[in-house]
Amino acid sequence: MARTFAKILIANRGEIAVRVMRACREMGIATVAVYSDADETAPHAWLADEAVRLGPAGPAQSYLNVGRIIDAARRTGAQAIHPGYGFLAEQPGFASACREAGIIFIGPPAEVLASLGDKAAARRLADAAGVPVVPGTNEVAPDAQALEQAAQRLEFPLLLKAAAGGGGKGLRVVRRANDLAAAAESARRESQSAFGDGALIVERLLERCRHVEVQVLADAHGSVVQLGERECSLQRRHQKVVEESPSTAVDGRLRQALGEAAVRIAKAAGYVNAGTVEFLVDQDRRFFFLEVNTRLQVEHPVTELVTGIDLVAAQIRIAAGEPLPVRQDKVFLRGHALECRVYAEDPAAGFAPSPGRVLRLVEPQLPGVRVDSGIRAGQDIPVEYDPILAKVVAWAPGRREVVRKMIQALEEYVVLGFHTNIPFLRAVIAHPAFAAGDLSTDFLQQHFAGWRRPEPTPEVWAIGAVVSGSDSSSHAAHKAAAGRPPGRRDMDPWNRLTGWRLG
Amino acid sequence: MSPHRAGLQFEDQTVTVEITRDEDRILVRVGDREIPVSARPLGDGVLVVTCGSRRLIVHHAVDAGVHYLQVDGEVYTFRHGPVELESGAAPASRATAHLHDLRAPMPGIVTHVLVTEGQVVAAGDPLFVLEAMKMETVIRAVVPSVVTALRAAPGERVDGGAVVVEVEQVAGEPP
Repeated sequence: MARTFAKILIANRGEIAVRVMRACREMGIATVAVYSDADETAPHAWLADEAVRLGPAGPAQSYLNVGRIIDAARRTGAQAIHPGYGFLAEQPGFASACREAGIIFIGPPAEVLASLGDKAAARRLADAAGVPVVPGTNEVAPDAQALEQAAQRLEFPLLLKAAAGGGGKGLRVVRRANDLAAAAESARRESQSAFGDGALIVERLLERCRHVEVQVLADAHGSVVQLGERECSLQRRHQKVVEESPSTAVDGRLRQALGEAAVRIAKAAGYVNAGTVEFLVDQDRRFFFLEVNTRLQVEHPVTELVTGIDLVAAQIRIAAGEPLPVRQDKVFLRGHALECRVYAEDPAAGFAPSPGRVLRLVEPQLPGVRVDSGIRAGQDIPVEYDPILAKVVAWAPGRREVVRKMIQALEEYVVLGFHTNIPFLRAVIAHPAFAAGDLSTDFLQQHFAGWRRPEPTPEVWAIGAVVSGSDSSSHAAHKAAAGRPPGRRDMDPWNRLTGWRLG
Repeated sequence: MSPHRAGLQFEDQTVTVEITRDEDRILVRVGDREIPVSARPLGDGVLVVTCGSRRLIVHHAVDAGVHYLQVDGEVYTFRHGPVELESGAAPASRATAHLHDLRAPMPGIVTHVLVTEGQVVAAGDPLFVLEAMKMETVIRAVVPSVVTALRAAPGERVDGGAVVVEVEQVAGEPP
């Protein structure tokens, strides 16, 4: 096996940086990590062969700082940069900066990132390729007036989307005309801050649909394959929580049609490297193009587990100019894969972010379970970045078995020190509607709105009393501590929530 | 041995338990239930707990007076709390809000302060915006009030529970 690159810099952090580094290791490629001051002792910074400090914790001064990242690659002699997902992964400016510096960007060419990253342009492209598109605007709305006109033409409820967006940022659901202006302003502000671009498009919000996406791989020689679908209908705040492959909504015929549509779009865009074409599938199994994600997806492992193709390795080989690792007629989906995203958040408080220190960490170890993790015990989870901590991915021959396996894995997954969504995830996939495969993008809202943690049973109170040492010694210590002013961790803001309202 | 009484808090509930230690086991009275518990540490942060007829692996960590327990895949946070005088489980006591302090609900970065000192605000008016883990949270006034002090500036990183805007309720208005 010829070596593709001698050294790759991974311009990301957390679980995805670790994931990419592991693929590099397997391929005999040296790795360079970059890190901010908040991540100096984070696993990704320690795992790599070399690590370069970028700057302070703020993303603009660290993981979004193109100049410092290119400089780090130059100084360490990295021949290629893998951007992971988020941060600079879909920024044409970063891809062209790499090109100008003589460094290979492991992803699509800058021009493709630019045309598909503009959601309006992507809609036009899909339209032209004969793929049905969600009703909406094919041009960005330049001002409030244009937005209002577009809103009148479509029907409420509407979805405002950052034209440059992704990952659920800059998205707003608008159900009444009166809310349009405020929602637009808030979406513009969020997307300006997240993507440096406040332009919006409007789509009709299709409810009770399924979110189904198709993984494609395209090489630099014009070949494109599709690796089947992933269903990602379970979302909170338009961010995916649980993903699986194959989808319970997709039969052989629909799979064929979705795959062909995805390949058509990839070819029309001149796509190179790994990408994902997202669709909504309605209850009549009609599908509508949503957008193309020009990066490796968080949920890529479910495709890896059912196809047996390592997508990160494929990305690296494609970037090195190699032909596709597989022909379309050799792609088969085998068994069933399920992924749960572990977030530092409180599902009982509207999924509010919940940063903190990892006091105890035990990751599940079961046959057929893979944990892509970016945290370690003792680490402080920073407030500056996404709340994703890890992904748990399971494979089994059938869906029922994989659900059981995942429940087991989540039961064994221990993260103590702040709220995580692990118990929530377990409740979600143990729900009868999930078992029935009866999913839609409204699933969590429909079945889990107002979800609360179970209250302690008498047994749990008893265990709590014994394990927390409610005996004389520690109780005396508690009494002593009661006199001092509350520190950061003594304060439980949720106890005081009555004083605020979260908007 | 005479029982030891201890208060335990979970979220907004406080319960008083009675703990009696024997030679090799502990009896915990919770309400009208008496539950035998034995706990054997297996190493740092993990114990085998026998509770009644069940045997469980319990993970435990403590930080600044908060005990985190994982039992049967669920996570509970306990603190030691006040002891009720009467025996049995105490009724849930809701923590009262400090209407005068508009605090950061979580650690984060104050991105916008939307009011100035002396400004009169109506219930529901946005006061400041906090960004944590790339998510914006707008903190709003709950009652008609006047802003008496600003304790954090845009761009400032604050701890969870830190006061950002001090307000005083406008007299005469029902909350």
